[in-house]
Amino acid sequence: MNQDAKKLVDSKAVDALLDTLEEGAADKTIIRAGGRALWMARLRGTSTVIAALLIFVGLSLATPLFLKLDNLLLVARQISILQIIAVGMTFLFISREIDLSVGSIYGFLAIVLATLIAKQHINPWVSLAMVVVLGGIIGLVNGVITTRFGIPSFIVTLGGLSILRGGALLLSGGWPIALKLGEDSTFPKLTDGRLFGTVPAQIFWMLGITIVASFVLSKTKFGAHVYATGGNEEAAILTGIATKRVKTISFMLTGALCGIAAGLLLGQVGSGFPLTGQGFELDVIAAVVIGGTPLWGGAGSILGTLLGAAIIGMITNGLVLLGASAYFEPVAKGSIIVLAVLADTLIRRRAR
Amino acid sequence: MSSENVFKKKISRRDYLKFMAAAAGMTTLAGCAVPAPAPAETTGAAPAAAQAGPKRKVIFVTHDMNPFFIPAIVGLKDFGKMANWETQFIGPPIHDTQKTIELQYNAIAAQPDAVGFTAVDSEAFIEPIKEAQAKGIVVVLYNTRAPGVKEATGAAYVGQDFVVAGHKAGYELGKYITKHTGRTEGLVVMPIIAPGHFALETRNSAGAEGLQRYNEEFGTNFTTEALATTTNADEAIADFEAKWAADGDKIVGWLAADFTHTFVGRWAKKNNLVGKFAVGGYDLLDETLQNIKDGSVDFTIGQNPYGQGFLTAALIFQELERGYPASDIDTGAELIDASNIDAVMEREALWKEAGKELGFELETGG
Repeated sequence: MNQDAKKLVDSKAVDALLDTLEEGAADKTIIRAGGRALWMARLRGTSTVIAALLIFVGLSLATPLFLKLDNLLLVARQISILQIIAVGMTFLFISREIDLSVGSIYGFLAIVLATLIAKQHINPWVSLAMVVVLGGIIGLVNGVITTRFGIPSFIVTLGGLSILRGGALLLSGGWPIALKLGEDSTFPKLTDGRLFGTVPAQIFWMLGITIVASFVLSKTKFGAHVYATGGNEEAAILTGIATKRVKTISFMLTGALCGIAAGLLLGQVGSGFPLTGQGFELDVIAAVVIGGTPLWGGAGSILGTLLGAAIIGMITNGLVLLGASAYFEPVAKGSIIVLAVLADTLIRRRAR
Repeated sequence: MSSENVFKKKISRRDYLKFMAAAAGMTTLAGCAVPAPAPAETTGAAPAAAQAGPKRKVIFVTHDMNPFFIPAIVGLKDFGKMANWETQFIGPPIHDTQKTIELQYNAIAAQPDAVGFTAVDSEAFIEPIKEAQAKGIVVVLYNTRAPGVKEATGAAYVGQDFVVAGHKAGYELGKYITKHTGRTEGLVVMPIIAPGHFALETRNSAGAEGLQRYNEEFGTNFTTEALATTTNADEAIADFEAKWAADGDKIVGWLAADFTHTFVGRWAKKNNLVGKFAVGGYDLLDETLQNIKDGSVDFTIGQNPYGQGFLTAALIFQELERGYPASDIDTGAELIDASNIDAVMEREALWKEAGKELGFELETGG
């Protein structure tokens, strides 16, 4: 446990915790004890909103192409898959865990889904349900190994990253798998179609998942337990929260969301690629961190992650519109990640 | 574009002929098996701006910004300077179909006059190509066009025929195996940096077919096995060492689907294994050429990436300014071995100078 966490445990948190254990209102106490963390998260969230607005206004002034409706919808569509996976990662970050295998889970599930549809001729929606469940099972394995055997999640999932990438290659034989769905299939229509003739379906999936996840995280008991687990795990255990279960569920949620993301990808491109998601974990982590969820857990929000994903999407799109060199994009993304972490650190220092 | 509009462009017949002559020169060079130094205006200093036509915006999107594409960038910029174009070359840092498609859509949103795309899959790239075409943007494909894309989009292609290149490499490797080992059977390892990449997988499968043709003609029995590896030399060499430790007694050759035969040469030199097996592959890294020169690599197959940039741009110019639709150009499968290495090294040095003048450090060619 780091010094900051110890301070929290040593001072207000433990006192409040003991009081409330007697009163039998543990969840409220945990939230109150994490009040400082929540205040920090709000401050950090504000800085994310300001950053997103600055980039939006800056790009709008720099090129008239940016503000066009088609282009804004393009940016929103392009961040859909990133945001969906980043939702799961936000749960993990808040509970102070990480999943480095998300890119590989996403790629592996894309190949499994393509295999089920194209080679086993199973209905696409049934296949999608199967890969969502499979994603949850992969998350369960990650969660159980991490929590029951005490192995750090970055090591467990680093192994998973390699295993699942190899699994995708073995399953596909190295070749892409084309879906070849008929024109009457509802799968591409509902995963890649245009609702009202304009808005890409992926945006609705992204918004739906974001709203539900945001509600779960901010308004339910499970959400409070996630914050409590990441904010102060020892205190959370003392109040009776099953932190191992909370973390495992967060891993499962992340895996299941990778399954949905794989379905949206296949609906759009019509093929499964064994190298799908290679390096994608870095983009996902970037979205979460830029969105204000700290690496040390206990704070953060789904809406912040959405803003983080939007910032990444606007940079990628804006650099192309501005005619910038392809080599500049990683520099820009990396710089923003560093600035985001720097902002976190400064806010934490001021909060002490 | 109507013919009336076409001829309103402020381009002299002389300028047009100059562009087409340069393009024709590149086509000849691409299809030529024996390399020769290219004309000074395409190999030396970057061409001066000719102010030859309207200010066009042309964007190339690739699937992987690896150093192989630097000559293609130089080729695009060379032509762009002559034609007074605004050019841009973008792509994901590593091979990624999803990100490539996103960048293609971003390129379309930038409202260019034309785009150059790569299409490494039969399905995934059809939608963005069609969207660009529907918006009146000229689309020419370069480097890779997966089967079915031409039928679905009609887009022309400038690049290597991977089946032809693979057959050539496989057959050539058979000759070198016999020369180095004298054995009639054994294993050929086929390193591949991006399993699933259409071009590389096609080269590997065609390479196996080429080797099989050699088997049938000479009564040998060489088999093949793919080995997934990386562009990182240290990791790739570790892969080779592990494979050698496991199957060293069976291995008679290495045929990379990409440029990793360069690393095989490096590893062979370090371990005194030169001459114990045949080594071949694709593309023209500086080190690859040096290895051919010193004998640690037997051959490499080039695909003229400069031409993939320059000729694609020339086809775009032809369609934009004169209304002639683009048609396919094969940039060849140039065999480079000990017999022509000096001439090729001289030629590649010229490209390197051109790249430096455009602000790039050329490390490889194709």
